[in-house]
Amino acid sequence: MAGLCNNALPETLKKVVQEAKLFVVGAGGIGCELLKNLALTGFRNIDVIDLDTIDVSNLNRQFLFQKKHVGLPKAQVARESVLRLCPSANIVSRHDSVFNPEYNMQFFKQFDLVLNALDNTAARNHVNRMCLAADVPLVESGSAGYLGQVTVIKKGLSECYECNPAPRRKTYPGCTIRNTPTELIHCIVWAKYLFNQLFGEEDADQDVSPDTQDPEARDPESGDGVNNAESSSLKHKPIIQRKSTREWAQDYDYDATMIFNKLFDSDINYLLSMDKLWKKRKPPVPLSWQQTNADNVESVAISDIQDVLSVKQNAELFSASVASLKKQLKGEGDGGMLVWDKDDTAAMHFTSAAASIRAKIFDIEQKSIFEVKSMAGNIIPAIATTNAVVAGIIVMQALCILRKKLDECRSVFVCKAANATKKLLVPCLLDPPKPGCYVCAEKPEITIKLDASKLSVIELRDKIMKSALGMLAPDVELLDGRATILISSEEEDNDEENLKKPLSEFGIRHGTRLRADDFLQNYDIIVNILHETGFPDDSIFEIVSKTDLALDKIASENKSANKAQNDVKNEDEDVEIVEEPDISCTVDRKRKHSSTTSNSTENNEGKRRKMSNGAEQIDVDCDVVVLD
Amino acid sequence: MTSDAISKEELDQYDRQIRLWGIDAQKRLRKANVLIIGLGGLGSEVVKNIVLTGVNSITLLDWRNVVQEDLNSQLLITPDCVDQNIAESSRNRAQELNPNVQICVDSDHVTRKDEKFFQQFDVICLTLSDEKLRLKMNTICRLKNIKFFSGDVFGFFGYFFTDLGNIYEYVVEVPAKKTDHEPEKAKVDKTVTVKRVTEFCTYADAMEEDWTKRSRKSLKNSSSVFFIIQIYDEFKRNFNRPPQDGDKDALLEIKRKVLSRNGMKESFLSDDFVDFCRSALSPVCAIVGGVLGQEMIKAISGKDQPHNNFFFYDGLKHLGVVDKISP
Ligand SMILES: [Zn+2]
Repeated sequence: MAGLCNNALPETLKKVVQEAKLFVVGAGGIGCELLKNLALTGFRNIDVIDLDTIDVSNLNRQFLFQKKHVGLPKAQVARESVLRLCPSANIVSRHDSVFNPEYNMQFFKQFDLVLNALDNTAARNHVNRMCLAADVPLVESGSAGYLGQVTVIKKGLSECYECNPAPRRKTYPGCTIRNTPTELIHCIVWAKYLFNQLFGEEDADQDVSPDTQDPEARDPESGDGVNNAESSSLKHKPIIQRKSTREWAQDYDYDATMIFNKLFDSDINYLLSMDKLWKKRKPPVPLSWQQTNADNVESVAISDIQDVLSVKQNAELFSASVASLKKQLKGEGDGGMLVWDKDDTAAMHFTSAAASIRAKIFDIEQKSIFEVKSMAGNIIPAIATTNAVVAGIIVMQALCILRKKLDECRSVFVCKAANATKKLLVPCLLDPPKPGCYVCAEKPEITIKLDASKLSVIELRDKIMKSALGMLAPDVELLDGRATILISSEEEDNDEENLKKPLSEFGIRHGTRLRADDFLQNYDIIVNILHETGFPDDSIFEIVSKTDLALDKIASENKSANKAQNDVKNEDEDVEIVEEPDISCTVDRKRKHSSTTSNSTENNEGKRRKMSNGAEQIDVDCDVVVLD
Repeated sequence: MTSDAISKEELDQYDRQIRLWGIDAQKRLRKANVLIIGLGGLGSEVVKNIVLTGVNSITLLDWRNVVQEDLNSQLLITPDCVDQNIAESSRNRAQELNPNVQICVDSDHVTRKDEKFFQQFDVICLTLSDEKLRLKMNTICRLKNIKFFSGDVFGFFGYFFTDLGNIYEYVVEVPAKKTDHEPEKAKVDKTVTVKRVTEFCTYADAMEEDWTKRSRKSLKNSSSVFFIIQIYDEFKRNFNRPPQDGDKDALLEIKRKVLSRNGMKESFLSDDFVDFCRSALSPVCAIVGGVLGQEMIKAISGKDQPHNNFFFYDGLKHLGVVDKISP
């Protein structure tokens, strides 16, 4: 029997490895490599969970899968594949979401170790909380291109995943998307919104028509963008005003020429009529279908998806993809809708064509379908070798934990090139938990600025408690001495009407304290409200601090003291030497440098960036991260 | 595999890596012919990494039969392969990893192969070797202009060596310099490709380095795994088998000899290593095989700066070091 006689392991580890019970979260790029390593090393009790099914683009690295497995659940195929290697292993596969309440604290407690091989922040946050609640050590990991990272999270001993909050999603102001794009990504975001407006789930926040409320378009005298625009150019009223884009398109049975002319000719003419916008900017040039010399075609032959297409080609691609998506939509039946998917050819062609034409109109450099797909799908390149290294390091940390040598565990960075002290895989001491962390602190607390007269209860629940604070089903009560319940985790206990009311109607004002609680995560937090008005752009609230800022300062001082004793210190000496102008390496050096100064914010950001880079579903800012 | 254009199917399959290293590198990869000598844990990791990228052909060369211990690190075989040739046993799984790649198997002993045999390859990766074979293969590769790698894993430790020739040319992408008159929109992700050159030395030359000439700072950043290789080599020469339980004293004796031969203090390598340097540990094979595989991909595509010339992994310190060891 394999593993029972693994002589690579010292005597003390053989039995522990064989008996340890592990939970592997994710059977993708890192997960496949990890399961293989675990089985070969001699681990015999493994639970693996993954919600995903196998896609052809996984096959260049997720080596437990083959072409014949495309469409099948990853967890199940990975299990069967590993059992061929090691028939004596006891592997349970779960084709399921780790958010499922079935995987509660009791479930997590049965494991000696949890190993994350995830690709998104939301799931990482959740598993982090479950492991803290169950007090099970967690090995966390991520990879992006040539870069990777592994770290160990142990309650009370090291930083938790959320001690350094992730940078917020990169969002673009609505008026940049709708009125004044300056980069291709703005046009791509617009094109994805357009897809949803025409074929997908309509979202009021994803309007694609000219934004008449753009503050920049306003006449300082009248202060009203609409009047200003209309008075200066009445002849360019938008074709539709009360009708949604979807209804309008349906009325014309998705006629590609009509849609093209509305989006790229009349809407642009309307934008031009908001003349304040173009005082300091280059104005867009409207483009009608007739001007493109395009024909309405059923399909377009693209010889090379790495070519930048001409206007005529893009117009034809637009027309053909609208026709194809219209057919798909009809296939969904009445009230059906499509979901945007980067791997759906028609959806991707539509997005690329619409974005490219809009880019042309605004004189923005266009790119090939291949590159637009990277940007639209937030695709992070992924290769087998980096994942193999990361998965190897995960097991080395796991063995270290099982040897009961937690002090010898390290947070390890996988770099593209060796640093000035010759390190390619860079071990760093684990940082102690942040006293002010809003997740792993003894009594978590957070302060949030919001406009209590505008922010509704449902926004508090969905945008703050769920989205920003990562809760699944929060119960929220006022700490007003009567424990007034504001939000219940049981949907039916909430009054529909009350949910829509602003917080001020429930007596929430400057200085109010709330208690929020998530039963599944066994997570409880006090929220201090600071009432404030006038938030910029589209934001409606701001997280100010995690408890006391003074505590953060102490923490960062402790940290720099710690670092001084660590081998990381050595690297600092040579930080100025940059022998190779390598982009990723520069970022790395910056991080190293800041980690030894007491600038803890920058340090954390650097670390976090690397981690969140591993997320295939994370945001457009990934490209920006590497470049800044 | 004769057409130069990359098909739609290949684009779909290799999408995520083409987005990283570009279409030109992919075109070079699909023309490459690679030889892997030694199909242990490390060899099998390299085979997996190289086959997945979509090279033209890979040849698996090993005369050994599968033993129980291989099952702890070799990912291409199954328990029912015991007592059968290990290269042959790896063929099916290797082919499953990527039907586009031609898999060849050779169960001959490497010492029975002539220069003409090696000439058909662009890259050779040697594992499970002793010093004599390393020196011999390196010489052949120099002579025939073949890119040479050799590596091994001993328990929690591993390494590989690279010789890409006296003069090795490659390209790197660097951020384009911004000019003042360029419009603002052009500021994002512009890069230019520039040519670079670097020199490699042979394994024999590397062994000539005088370690007493290293500065204190350089020594502090050097890896003691370099000496574990020599200790392991010498142990196998003396006992004709890898170390086991109870070999502690013999290993420590060899350690003293090796370190003093190199003019190094004994404290440079802690005695702890003796409990952790036996047969190949799977995660260490994955780590060393991952870095090694990527270096082979770099060497084939001629893109990005190679690690010149040793990589060492120390699983007790969780440390990976790239060091240039040369006379
Ligand atoms: Zn924390």
